[in-house]
Amino acid sequence: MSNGKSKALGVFALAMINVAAVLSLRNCPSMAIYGWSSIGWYLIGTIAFFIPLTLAGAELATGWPLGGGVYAWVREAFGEEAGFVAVFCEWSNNLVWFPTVLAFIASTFAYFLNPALANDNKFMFVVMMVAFWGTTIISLLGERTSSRFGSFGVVAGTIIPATFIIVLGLAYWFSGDPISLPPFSLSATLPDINISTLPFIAVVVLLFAGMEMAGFHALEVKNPQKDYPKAMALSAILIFVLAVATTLAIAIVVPVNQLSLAAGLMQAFQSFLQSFNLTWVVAPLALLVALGGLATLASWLAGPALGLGAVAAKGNMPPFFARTNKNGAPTGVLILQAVIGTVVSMLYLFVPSISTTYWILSAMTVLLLCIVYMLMFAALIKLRYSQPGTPRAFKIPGGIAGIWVTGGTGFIACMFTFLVSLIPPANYEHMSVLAYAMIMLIGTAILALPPLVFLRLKKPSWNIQPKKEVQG
Amino acid sequence: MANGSSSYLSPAIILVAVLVVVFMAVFLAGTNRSEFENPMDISAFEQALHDEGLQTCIQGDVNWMTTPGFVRGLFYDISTNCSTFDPNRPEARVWVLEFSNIEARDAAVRNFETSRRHIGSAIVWVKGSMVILVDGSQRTEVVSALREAMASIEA
Repeated sequence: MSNGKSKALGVFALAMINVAAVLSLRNCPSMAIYGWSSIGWYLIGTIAFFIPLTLAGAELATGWPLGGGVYAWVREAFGEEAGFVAVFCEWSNNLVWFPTVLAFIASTFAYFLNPALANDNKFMFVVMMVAFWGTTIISLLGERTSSRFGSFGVVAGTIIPATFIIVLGLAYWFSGDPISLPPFSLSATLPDINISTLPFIAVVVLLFAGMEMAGFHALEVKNPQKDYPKAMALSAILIFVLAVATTLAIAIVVPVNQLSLAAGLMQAFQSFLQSFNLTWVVAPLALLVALGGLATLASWLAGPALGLGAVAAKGNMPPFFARTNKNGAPTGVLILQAVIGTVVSMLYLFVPSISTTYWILSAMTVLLLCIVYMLMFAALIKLRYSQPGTPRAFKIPGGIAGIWVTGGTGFIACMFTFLVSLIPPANYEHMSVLAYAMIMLIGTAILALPPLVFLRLKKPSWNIQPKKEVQG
Repeated sequence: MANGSSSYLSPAIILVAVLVVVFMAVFLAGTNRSEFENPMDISAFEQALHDEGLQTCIQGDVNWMTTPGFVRGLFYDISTNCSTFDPNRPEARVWVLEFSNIEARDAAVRNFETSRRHIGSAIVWVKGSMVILVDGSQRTEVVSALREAMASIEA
């Protein structure tokens, strides 16, 4: 999607795209409920998924710095159909997931004005739409503008608030006041893994989803071979350190009985700040955290849309999807996803009985993401065999064994998450495991397989730029 | 690749029309809400725990200060045997939350269910005006007994 102008993205901008996509403060209070063992849970997610995904993203992005990110990598390994399915899964996952992050932005923003507004569906709807369409317009202004917005949003809305909470947590720790956690011991950091807690592995794996997001912006990177590994390393360190430290800071200060995201993130922060007599900070903090939510939204909104635009530019979808504007933004895809996201958001907010339906749809997005990552890890392994000579500025160390350990670990983690997601939640007594699994699989297939329909219906007239090879 | 604006016009009109129709439909559906038919008392929850042989090892108030519609809440660390309870190895952490209206209750459930991409081992029950949540570390037999307790509560 390069528009012929100078390359826009350097190491910092690339790293911030990943940090925005992955790091969210809203995960921290729910992880803090696990106390010291949250350290062990984070390590499981890091070893099983975060490190493999980071390494895979670095090798694939430096070997194939092509437009389309996941689409380009999976296509190189398994062909057009698989690449198309991968990027479509990531895109359709977004359509269902958008209302979740939009509702988070709106309910957090309500704390800036008046917390009671969080229960007002009309207020929620207006803020959600302003956020959604505003972020879409920013994406339409091109990658340079959207990456600047994303970088600003993630620094102001995620990194600064997280650092603020960590500093207060440290001050509390060193003040000698009694902490809210039981006494520390090494054994306390070990997760309690049993049949009941096994599904939580899916949570900690998916905490780190989005590390591949920078790959969608390959055509705008100044020096992909050098910048990608640095950006991946920078973002990985920032994400891990900030997530763990913020979680522990909250766990140390806030008693567990006050921690539940049923009240929303800002209630947990209110309890945290009350310990320091800083409740006046809640409103400005809410504004910043809402801004961080916008950065997350912008990252997920632009990346897969660019990927789908790259697919369409190769003539695999009707010309509407290939439309770009003078800024190189995929106009057709962005507008279509904004319209669909608007409709899903309306259903999410205004239909009282939608809750169960929406939750099942939301659970399907987990399956879609797992498909994306399984294809990506499989592509990583396959490309070492099928294209061993392709230069990669970053190569996963350890040769073939290293690739199998990295790709295999990530693949198994995703497969496990996929299977766990087919089990109904414990309170779904009215539905058998088999019925739930069938609904999930059929729904996922409906959301994942339109690419096969598009490829079957493909017409020569869809290829509106036959002579221009899109790098991806 | 940029096309003339006229080619955008027809799809845009159709999309706007679809949006208006869907908005009206869901807005009208969303305004038809009923109040609680059968508010649950928190003592019914405690009795159900007792009947299933579950003990409360730690109990505390939930002091949400600014959550709209929140009436009161209690937190329980429960176990089948509190004499062996280890606070670093909680067996089931339960929040029982009471709300004044359906919108507030549903918003709480929505907040909880969509707070992360996968709900993992967390459980949510809605019983009239109450939302009962389980989150954090768990032991299978304690959660099984809790599920039995919840099934015995009518709401």
